[in-house]
Amino acid sequence: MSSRAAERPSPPRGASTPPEASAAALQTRGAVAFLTPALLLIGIFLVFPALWTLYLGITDYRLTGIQAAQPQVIGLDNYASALGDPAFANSLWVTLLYVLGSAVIGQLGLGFALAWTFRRWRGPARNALEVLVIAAWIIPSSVVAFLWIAFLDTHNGTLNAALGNADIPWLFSWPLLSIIVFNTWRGTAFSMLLCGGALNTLPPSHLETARLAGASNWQQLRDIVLPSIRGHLLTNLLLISLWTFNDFTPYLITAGGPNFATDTLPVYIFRNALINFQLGYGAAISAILLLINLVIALVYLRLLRARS
Amino acid sequence: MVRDGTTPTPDSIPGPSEAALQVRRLLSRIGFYLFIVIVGAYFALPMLWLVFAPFDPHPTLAAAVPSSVTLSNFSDLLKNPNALRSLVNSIVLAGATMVLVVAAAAPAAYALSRVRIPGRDLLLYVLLLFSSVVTGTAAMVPLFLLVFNLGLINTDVGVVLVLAGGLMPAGIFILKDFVDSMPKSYEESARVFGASSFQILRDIVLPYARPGLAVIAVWVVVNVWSNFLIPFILIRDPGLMPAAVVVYNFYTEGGQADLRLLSSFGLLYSIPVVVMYLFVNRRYGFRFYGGIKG
Amino acid sequence: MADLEIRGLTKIFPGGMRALDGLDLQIQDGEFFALLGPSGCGKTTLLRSIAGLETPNSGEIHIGGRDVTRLPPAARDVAMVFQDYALYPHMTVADNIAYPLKVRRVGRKERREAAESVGRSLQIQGAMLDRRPGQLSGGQQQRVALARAIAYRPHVFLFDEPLSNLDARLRLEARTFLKQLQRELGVTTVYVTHDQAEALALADRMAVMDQGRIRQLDTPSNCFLRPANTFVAAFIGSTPMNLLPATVQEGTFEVAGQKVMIPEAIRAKVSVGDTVILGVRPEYVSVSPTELPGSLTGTVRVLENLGVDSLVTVEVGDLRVQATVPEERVPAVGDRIWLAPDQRRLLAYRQDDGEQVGAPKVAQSDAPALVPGAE
Repeated sequence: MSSRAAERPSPPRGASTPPEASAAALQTRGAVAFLTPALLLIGIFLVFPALWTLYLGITDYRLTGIQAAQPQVIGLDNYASALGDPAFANSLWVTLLYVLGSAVIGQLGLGFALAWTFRRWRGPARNALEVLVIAAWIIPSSVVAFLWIAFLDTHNGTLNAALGNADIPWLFSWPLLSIIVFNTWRGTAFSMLLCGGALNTLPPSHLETARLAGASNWQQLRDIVLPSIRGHLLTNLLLISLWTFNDFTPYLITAGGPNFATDTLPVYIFRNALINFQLGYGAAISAILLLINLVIALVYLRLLRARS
Repeated sequence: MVRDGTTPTPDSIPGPSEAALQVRRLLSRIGFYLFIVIVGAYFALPMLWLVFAPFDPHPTLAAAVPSSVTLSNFSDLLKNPNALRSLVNSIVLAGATMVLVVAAAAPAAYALSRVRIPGRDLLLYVLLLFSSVVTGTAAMVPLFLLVFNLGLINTDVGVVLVLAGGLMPAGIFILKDFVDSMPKSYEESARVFGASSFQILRDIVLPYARPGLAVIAVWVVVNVWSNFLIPFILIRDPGLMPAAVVVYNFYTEGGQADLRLLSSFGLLYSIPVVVMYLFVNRRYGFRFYGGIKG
Repeated sequence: MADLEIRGLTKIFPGGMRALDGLDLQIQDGEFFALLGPSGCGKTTLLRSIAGLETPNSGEIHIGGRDVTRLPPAARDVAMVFQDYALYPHMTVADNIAYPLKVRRVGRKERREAAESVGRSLQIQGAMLDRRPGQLSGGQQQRVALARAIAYRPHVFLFDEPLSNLDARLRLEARTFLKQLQRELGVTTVYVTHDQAEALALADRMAVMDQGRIRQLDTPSNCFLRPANTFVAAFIGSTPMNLLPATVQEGTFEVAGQKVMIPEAIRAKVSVGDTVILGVRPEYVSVSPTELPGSLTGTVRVLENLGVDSLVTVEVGDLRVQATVPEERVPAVGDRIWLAPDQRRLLAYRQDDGEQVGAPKVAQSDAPALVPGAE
């Protein structure tokens, strides 16, 4: 065996300085090379736009005309005009109602209810319902938007047909409620899956102990389940709120109308910046949306840290 | 839970009578079924149109079981150059973004998982923060301007770069999870046996991470395939628009929508994401990563 | 084949943890050498330093007379078997075994032959070669890991607790097998374990480590019979050694107010008034229901059945002394009995540094002495 060992070709790597304590296939310099492409892309197309938004928000940038060539820094004028603009106030209010109604009440409430129901219910009907809920979540938004336009149509819509040819103009008489109901339908799956996961982490013995003590379903829910998965529910709530704040899909259904009743912040930004080309003003509103996102994300990350 | 009505409860408080219990059980059963039926209808009814209309020779906005089933809507769709071209555009965008994200995120994830880079934790935190804060909607103004000033407006490249930048942090986190789950002894053992860095990456790390790579590849494709906003604001040329935008144009542009075309196209365009979701879900189950929408 | 020499090896981890503290060690060619110690004693760090997976802060490592301190693992001709075996889940058993050959660009056919021939000697053959590691039992996985190390034909085997993931019965079988295999191959072997029985059974020589230092470097039988200090005494042996504080008087030790004769071999090394710690294994304490000369007396408090013997715990004054007794002589709880330590097996340790009386004071030894009951 020793002769075999002696004949062995010399090892691929020569006698160089020993590797750092890590046996990974990389040293620090290699790691930087490995990171660079990804960080470059993130830097240019994620970090830079966010910072640029803050700058654009204090200029009178426009896509055409003099301001396009030489945008002037106009300070906080855009913010001032936004805050003084009733259209902006309306948009903010609509967005808050939209988030509260569809994310906080709709998706979280229904998602948890479904997860709780699915926990012990087995059978084909359950599986069918679960697939439906998930399908509503993953089918592309431009398709589901039309499904709801058709569903809510005044004369031919399935909903009115189901209500006995009611001919209710849902999207005109109840526009905000319509998109809230739509977005609840659209996004419940995520909360359902996350709550389901959280419920699975609950040791069965906890509920069994409560049941042996004679606790009713409702008491088990209130005293055992909700306190145990409070952390999951809260992080879920923050995430779906953040997403709903930034949801552009209502535009595909109502385009902000009628009469700005569904003019959420994303739609408001889109209209001002990319239809009317008031880029500076649009950027100022974007910065406000970024700030909202930042607050939610910071709370979210803090919660994640506290849990891990 | 059959309980003898005469047996006292453990703490000797008289329980509700047998009859009252039965009524309560019945009511809770009825409540349960009522809930299921209402929720089932809520989720099923809007979906029905997508199931029936594509096969209906004369679809209306109302979901109705077709009197006769036809595939002519699909054969007409195949003759529509807009629809077909947009599907090809979607495939190109999804494929290119997927390659870019996998190729850039995989080495980054490995480096972040295995090498003690100074400031790594801060970097991860900042990445997580930016990936959840900077959404396409919040950054649409600078993204539009950036792509405009780079001369990439109206090009696939612009859309691919923006989408890749947005999906990259989440891709890195998913892959880092996979690499983290690999025991360090795998690399150490290969190292002791004389394997070079390249051999370790090729023989050990990549094969081990293959399921992770498959997951983010599918995940990127699903996200790009479905994304409406970015191509909507960055592409004006109808010949370059992906299916997400063309579907929308079908029902917003030019008067009365052609429901035969719209329904068959909508179904054809939706099926891939459903299939891909089922694939990932079947193999890896629902997992939740940071601030990532699946 | 190679001998192994370690000189002044020091490893300080970021954060100041001194895992190895100026360690010197020589392992002979073909020797089966065990590194034994509690977790955190530095034994695994030493092994990983030999493998090249840790870079020492100072000191040298020589393998076969060659200074490898600055060489990468690949250039050291060592094979390592990890505690978790590190078998690659995506490769078949044969590919796993032959992976070291693939690294050296050996052809596919030769790799297969090598895997088959090495596998055969370890009863890994037939269909098993084409399975994935995940489909094998723990014992089979352990043999595959061994086979891979053997296929590399290294100068030195490094084993990091390779048996600790097996259940108790399998571990005994694997132990015997491993010792036989090492004898046949004759490859220098360094074996890390926290299981003293494993080290005693396998090793030609062993080092008992604590806090980055070697506390005793000796044959297993010497480590067992003549532990150099109270640390080794307490660590080795399936029943813990009795460590009893005593004071030296004229011709006797006084233990808990009673007298034990000072053995001839120790008498010259102690002087009247010294305080020492007496060490004697329960196996070397004879028990009698009647008074013996120079013995301790006390009351039986606990009886534990060990199979062939029973372990008797006796209360002597405020001390507890343990002794093993054969089954036909087991006393009853509450009995008064007499305990006589075997004079040839009675050891005395200094109170201050825990080393044997008469041993030279170790200059660097600022390790705290192990006081009975402190652990």
